[in-house]
Amino acid sequence: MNLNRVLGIIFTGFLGASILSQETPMENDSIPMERLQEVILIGESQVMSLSKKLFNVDVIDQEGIKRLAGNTLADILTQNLNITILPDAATGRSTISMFGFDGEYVKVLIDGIPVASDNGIGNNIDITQINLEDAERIEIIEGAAGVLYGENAVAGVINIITKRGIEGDYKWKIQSALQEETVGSEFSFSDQGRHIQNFNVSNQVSPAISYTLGVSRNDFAGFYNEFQGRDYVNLQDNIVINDSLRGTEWNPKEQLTFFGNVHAKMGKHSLFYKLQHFDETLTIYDRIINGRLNPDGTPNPTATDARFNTNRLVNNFNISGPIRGLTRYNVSLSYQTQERNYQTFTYNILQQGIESFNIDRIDQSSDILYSRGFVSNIMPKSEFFGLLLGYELTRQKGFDAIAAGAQSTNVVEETLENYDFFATADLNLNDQWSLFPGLRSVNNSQFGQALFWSLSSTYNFLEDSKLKITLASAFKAPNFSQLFQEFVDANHNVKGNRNLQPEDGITIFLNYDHIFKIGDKWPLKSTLSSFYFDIDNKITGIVSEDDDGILFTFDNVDFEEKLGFTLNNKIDFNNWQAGIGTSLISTNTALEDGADSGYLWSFNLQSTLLYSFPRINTSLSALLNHRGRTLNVFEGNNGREIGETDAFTWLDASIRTTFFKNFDVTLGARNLLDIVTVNATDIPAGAHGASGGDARLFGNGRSYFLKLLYTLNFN
Amino acid sequence: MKKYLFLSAIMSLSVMVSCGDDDGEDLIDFTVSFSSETVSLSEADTDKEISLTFSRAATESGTITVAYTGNNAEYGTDFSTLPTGGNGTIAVPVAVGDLGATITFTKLQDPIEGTTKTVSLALNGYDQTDWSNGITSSSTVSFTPIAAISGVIDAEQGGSNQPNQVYVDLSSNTQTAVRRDTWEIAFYNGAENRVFLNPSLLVAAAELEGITDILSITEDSDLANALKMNTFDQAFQPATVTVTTVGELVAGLPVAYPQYGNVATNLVFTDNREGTLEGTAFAAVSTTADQNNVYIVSLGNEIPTESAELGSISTTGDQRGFLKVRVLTDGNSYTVQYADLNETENFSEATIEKNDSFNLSAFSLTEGQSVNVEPEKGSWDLNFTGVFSFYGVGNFGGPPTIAGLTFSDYVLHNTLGGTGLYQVTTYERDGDGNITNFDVPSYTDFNRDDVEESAFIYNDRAVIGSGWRSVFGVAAVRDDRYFVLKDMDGNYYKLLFTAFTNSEGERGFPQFTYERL
Repeated sequence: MNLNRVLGIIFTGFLGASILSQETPMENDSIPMERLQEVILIGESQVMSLSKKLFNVDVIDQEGIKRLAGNTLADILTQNLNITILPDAATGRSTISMFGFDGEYVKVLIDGIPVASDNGIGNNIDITQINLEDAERIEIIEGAAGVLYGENAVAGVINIITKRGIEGDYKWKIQSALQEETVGSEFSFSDQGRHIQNFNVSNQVSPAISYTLGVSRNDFAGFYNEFQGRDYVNLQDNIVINDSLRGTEWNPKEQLTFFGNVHAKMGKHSLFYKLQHFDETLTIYDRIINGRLNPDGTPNPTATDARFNTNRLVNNFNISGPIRGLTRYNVSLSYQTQERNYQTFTYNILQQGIESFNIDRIDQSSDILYSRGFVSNIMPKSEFFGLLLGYELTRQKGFDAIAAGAQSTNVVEETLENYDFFATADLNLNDQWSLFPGLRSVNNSQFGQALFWSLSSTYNFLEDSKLKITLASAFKAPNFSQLFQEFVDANHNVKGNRNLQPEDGITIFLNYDHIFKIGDKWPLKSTLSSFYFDIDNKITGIVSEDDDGILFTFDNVDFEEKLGFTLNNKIDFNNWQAGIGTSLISTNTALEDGADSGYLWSFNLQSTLLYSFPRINTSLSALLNHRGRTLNVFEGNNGREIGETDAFTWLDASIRTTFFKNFDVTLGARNLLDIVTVNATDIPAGAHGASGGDARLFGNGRSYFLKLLYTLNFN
Repeated sequence: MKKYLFLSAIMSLSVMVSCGDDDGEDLIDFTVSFSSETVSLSEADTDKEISLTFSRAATESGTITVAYTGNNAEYGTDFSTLPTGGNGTIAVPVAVGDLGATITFTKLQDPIEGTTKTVSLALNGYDQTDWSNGITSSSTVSFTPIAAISGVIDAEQGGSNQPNQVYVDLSSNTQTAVRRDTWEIAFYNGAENRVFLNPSLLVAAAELEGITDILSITEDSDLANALKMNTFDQAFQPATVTVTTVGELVAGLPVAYPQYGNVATNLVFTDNREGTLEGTAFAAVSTTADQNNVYIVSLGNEIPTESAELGSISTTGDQRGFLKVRVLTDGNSYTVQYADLNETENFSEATIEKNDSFNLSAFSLTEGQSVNVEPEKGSWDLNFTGVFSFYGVGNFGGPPTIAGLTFSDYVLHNTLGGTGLYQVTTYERDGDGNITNFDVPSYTDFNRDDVEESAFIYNDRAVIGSGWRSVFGVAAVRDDRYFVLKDMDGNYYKLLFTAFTNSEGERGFPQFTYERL
């Protein structure tokens, strides 16, 4: 990679934006400027938002969610420049990759509180399990934010803000929605496609108290692709031929989310309680058929299918208000549990029914107590100095039979505790220049004490341009399986390492915003960013030796460096909104025998084009996200090798219209370029020398959706 | 307004309910079936279990009524049953959770030579109205062996610990299951004087050169000559060790990857895979007593008692210890002397007469007695040993490596008794997944004219081996092969393996179907 190419791409980005701007019709309209300001500022007004002062916060608002008819977070994040969604068809999980870091390095919050996962809290979240039906907006920070949001907030933070209250002067609001989607070209009302129903009621009991109750059902029938479904068997001359075509490419799942919240104002104090119960059933059809014969020689084909049932219960409570003057407090309490139940059963294919239930057990469980609180603006009188002090307590109790190993009988409940204290200060050196130092002290029950820090600085050159530099610790704690895994039998000796230290490192983020005005009216906001990550003590699998023989375990012996450049341009003109962003990201890590991979570059491009017809309440959108070819270091048959995943482009488009004030219809298409798999040579080989395959699954083909939303407001 | 609210709520709820639970996932119907259409007793048998299998576990208790009709046989005089019968019916109780039931049939009187006695059993009703007959609703019990022309055999391997070895006779459609830990060594009944080891228990034996006095050595004794042995180190890298004492030799004797051996100097501590007379770990037993050296025998590994996780196996438990063993012969009988490794005072001794009706006479060194294991040599074709071990060439992904190997789901054929067998391969898949089809008939189409007499293999018992199923990647029965077998009476059969797990997915339930050609 050379500088010329970097510049070339940055230039292309600018050019793209300027071409769009040249097509701008010369019509007077002052709305776009306001809209843009609103998007920029929205983070600061709300108590559960991410800190806009310290970070660049990207916001996906209601419009953005509706445009993609997003039911879960996975429907929405397809259109983020530096985020790639990594679906796993077998487990049904989708996790986030940000700047090429996997989901372990990205923290997902709901109203500022980390989300429980099967075996952890906050990171490595299955984003298909995050329902958005009661979401007001989604905030995204790119870059390390560990001082404020704790360990594992290395690549970024995603925060989902819950809707509260009722807009307008109504007492009641009822919403009911129906959404039908094809999965690729597959659709039927019974056993193909995706079927979503939502229903919620909000009530403003008094000016100070409101509540919402709702339910959302998301029934994904799976993606068959070339597979033939549950009741398929290939019989030739009464003998089962195992052609591995039974089942589905993506396994079917059904999600049911019940949610509710209460929002109350007591004087200047604001109380918020959120309750959510999430239930998901994932069914996995065995592709191999057991071709046993009846005593008379007739076939009795059966398959051992599996079912994962996930239950999550969320109780989040927040209280905030003034202490004295402009000094404010903000305290969150949360109790969350998540459990994953594993069941296998014998399905009789010819008789189309269940013959027996075989395994039925809870595989993963986590039980989380959490509290975070802070006092901000401690010295309100000083214009020069500001201070925020806070704490974060986490107690996670759980077990993970999957991480403990399939055959392990040694599944023990473990507890992880964190007592953290943090502080950030504002030093307003002059009107233009501010410094924000921050410090967090972590006390973890496993690895003990650690300190991490950050230093941000903003400089406002003019009214319209701002430079922000952030230096911070990049701090990731070892996860549950790295610490506690245990799988020991005659042929295996895999153990976690309880002495693991956190991965530590440093990041630098540089961010330059400039708002141009084109023809006095149309603002073009350009953001140029650059970042560098240097992760030390990265945890990786190692081969060692102990009393049980050759030991597979984990240790802090690896490293990873990332360097990247991003350019984003957004412009509003008349009824158009356009955006184009490009990024170049590279990673350097260790290969075999101490050699480095060198910086492996990849290029991404994201573009948004929106047009609205205000008179007929209709808007059109087209969103394009191009993921360039990536080179990755992976565990191949001969140790660490460099492989690649080909480029692909994700294109979504939709049309949305409102009529009779109450009906909102969205018709759209996801994945217009029909991406299913992408050729890849960087898929790790499985155990026992099984080859990893030559393609990665990213989508389920071109899909269409139709969403009907009915809203009723009354007193 | 209230009306809209109501309508809206009803609409949403009804949509959710109608798209709700899938109705295809109910339990299948409960049906009852005999596990075989014919059951025959040999002359030696007095009792026989007649199995009823259910389509699924019973969710309610009840009673199955089975009607019996004797042909030349009277209840009480010629046969009886448990549960007991009367007035032409037997009431078989079913408890919640049962997957099947058995009727024990007892032969009280053998038929007169030249006549036949049979009893017909038929499913005759249920006290639960929703129970019904399955595929095989009647079964005939014969007092004497009947020739079978086809059958489906569920070998009673015993599940994920594979505790049994099962001898199968195709012509009579019968099987005999024996626990594989009942014997360690077996004596050959033919003209040669040979000792076989039990490969299904991982038994191994090392000769002590020049030692003929069983009480003269202990673990501390030096070997006559230092032995150079190949093995593997802790990191699975090939290594060599020099062994100078009995104790050091014992350390590398049990069958496992690092088992000692040296093919170049003919130091192999297991019988060969093929099961030929020349390939035994014990040298031919000489009628000259002082030519028969003492051997150290590793008694193999216990059969684990705890089942494996569904889908896997657990077949090798703790090592069962070591003995010193010396075998002598006069040509008509064998004398076996044995003692603990460090015993210098007394040894045990037993004499085993050769018996021409059997290939091998098995002996338990731990119990000190002969054991009935194999049926008569003309009365079995296949041996589902389950576990099988030998020192030989294995494939671990890299270049082929010689090591002590243990297999599961293993099947042997009766080469010592004269059974011949060969494999018909219908297609081959190369590393890239490309399939080459061979010009051979399918299993269904294969008939007597297709038999290739010259293809039968009589000198390798392990033609079937464990290659009939794959357990890595796609764990399934391989559908690229079937087998042709010729028994000692000159009958030809074709065999097709159909399963290696039961329907719940537990390993150790092999099934095959066969047909006489």
